[in-house]
Amino acid sequence: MSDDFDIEDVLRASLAEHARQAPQAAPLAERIIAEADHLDWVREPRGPRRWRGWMLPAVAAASVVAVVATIVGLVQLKHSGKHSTDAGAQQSGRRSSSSAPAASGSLFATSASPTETVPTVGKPGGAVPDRFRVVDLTFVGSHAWALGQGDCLDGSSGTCPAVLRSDDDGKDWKSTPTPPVPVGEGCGEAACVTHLRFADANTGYAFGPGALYTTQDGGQSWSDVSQGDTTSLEVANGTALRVTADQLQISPVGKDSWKAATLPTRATVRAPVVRALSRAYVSAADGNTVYASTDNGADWTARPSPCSPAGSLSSMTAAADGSLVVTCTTSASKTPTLMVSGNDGVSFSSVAAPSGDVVGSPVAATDSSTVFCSTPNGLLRTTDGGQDWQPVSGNKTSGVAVFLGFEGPTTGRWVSGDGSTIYTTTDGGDHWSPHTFT
Amino acid sequence: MLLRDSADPAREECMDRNVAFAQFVREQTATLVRSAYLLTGNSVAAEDLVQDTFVRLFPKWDRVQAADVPMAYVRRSMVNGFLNQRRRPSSRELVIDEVPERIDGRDIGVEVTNRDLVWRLLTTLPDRQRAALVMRFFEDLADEQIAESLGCRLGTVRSLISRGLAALREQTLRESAVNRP
Repeated sequence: MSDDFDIEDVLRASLAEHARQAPQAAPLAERIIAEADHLDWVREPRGPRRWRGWMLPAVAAASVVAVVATIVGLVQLKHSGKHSTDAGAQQSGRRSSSSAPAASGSLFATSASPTETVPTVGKPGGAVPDRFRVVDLTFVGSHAWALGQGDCLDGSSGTCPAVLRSDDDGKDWKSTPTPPVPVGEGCGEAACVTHLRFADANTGYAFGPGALYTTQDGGQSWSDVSQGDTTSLEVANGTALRVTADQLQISPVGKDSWKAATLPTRATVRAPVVRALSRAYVSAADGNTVYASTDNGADWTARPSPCSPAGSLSSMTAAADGSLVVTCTTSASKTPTLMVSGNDGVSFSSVAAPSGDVVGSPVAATDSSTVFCSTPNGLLRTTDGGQDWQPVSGNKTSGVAVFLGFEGPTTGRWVSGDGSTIYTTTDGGDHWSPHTFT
Repeated sequence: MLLRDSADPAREECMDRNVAFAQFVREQTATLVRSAYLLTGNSVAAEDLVQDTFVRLFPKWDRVQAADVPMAYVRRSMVNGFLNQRRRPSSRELVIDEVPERIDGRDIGVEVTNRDLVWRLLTTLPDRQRAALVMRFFEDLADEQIAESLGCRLGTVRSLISRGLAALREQTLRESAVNRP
């Protein structure tokens, strides 16, 4: 180094370069907010001094539940008569403001950024695009929504994102407005939608990398929540759980009021979060721990990973009865190990996976003894701990299922590998009826 | 009746404050954690410093919001936290990302870039000098702002920066000479 170097320039460059090695801010921010939230609960006066200390958190929790229930009821009442969309705004691309969601029980329960209804693509009740291919599927009773891609309805070349809706258990489908971002895994855009989830006929979410949209009118209009990546989201029993920036967050369904879930301090998680009935499960980012909730995500318990080594936990799914199925995958084996728990992750039993290269194959279950696995050879089912896997749906399509899941002990769906066909069973998987998009 | 009245003005005020806190944390943590990393030199300590700062300020967030520049208030608190923590003997036992190489010339190879060399030398400066240099040459703060953050006079800031730069320059030249083939 020559003696006439400029130490100030070198120092500036050095600081700028090393600042890029600083920890990620988003997870840290959520941890800080959760920590402060906890402090606030502890220190905030909750009632007369004559109350015993143990009553305070109990009363606070009851109050929060009551306030949330009241607000949810009011908001749903407000939305019950609001099903029209601002068609003019959609056609012109003009943004129309919508009211920000009401505050809920969390002390940090209001979005930092107001939600806006976004211009969408398509009209309610429109035709189904030719060559529509399903990317994701969600059913709520007889109502269903399918996210996918198909020929563009405006006649332009190529494929366009599309959301379809059915109100007769998937027999007839109509297109419905689509959030204005690309659709599908690996879309490679700054924001894209990869999944849909609905809580009821009106309230739903479209989400993916850099995207979280909500609807309160069954998908006729969408609002941009603008809260970063949402890699996994599940709704049930009034709460929504999502994984964002390695953090698990919870919000009342239909509200843009996310706060950190009450996991052990500084726990980071990875997608997916899975749910069934009141059960919810998510794994630690390092795969060494499974967090289990039995009260819709309000409280969580840490359980050790059932995999060996612990970090080989690769995915999880919740059975229709609330049991947990964990998939353990090591780089040395093409056959994963399935671990099933019927007691909220306290103990697990091993289920041998189907033979062949089934790493990454979708797995579903109706209970702790009945497990399904989609393979290139079709959908297989075992009821004897994996000793025998029998084909239950003879249709062989290219690749494994795009979607596989059960809404209850007898009703389930899977989508063929090419996304063209939705198969439905109502007898626990013995028989499957197809609906094919042409 | 145990149900809390959602229209309770005190409750509403509390929620407004908490929402403002959450918004500030989400917006400013990226800036603060970068500075904290440059101050502490490792990720764990940087996260702890930012988190401790916010948790300490949270009970008096109304005061932070009332400040002319809330970010300046938070920065000052963070810098004070850094300096106070470093004054405690136990702070010398912080877990760090990697063991720093000895700044004696023999452990620094000739392939080390100037920027890495300056970064390593920065860790050897007194804490207040280091903080002043970070605020000046990373955050681009004026002397007045640095003085406010450090709680000292303008002349002291200029002296800290001047002596810090001189020490860096001198040590950089010395280390370079030692490693020059």
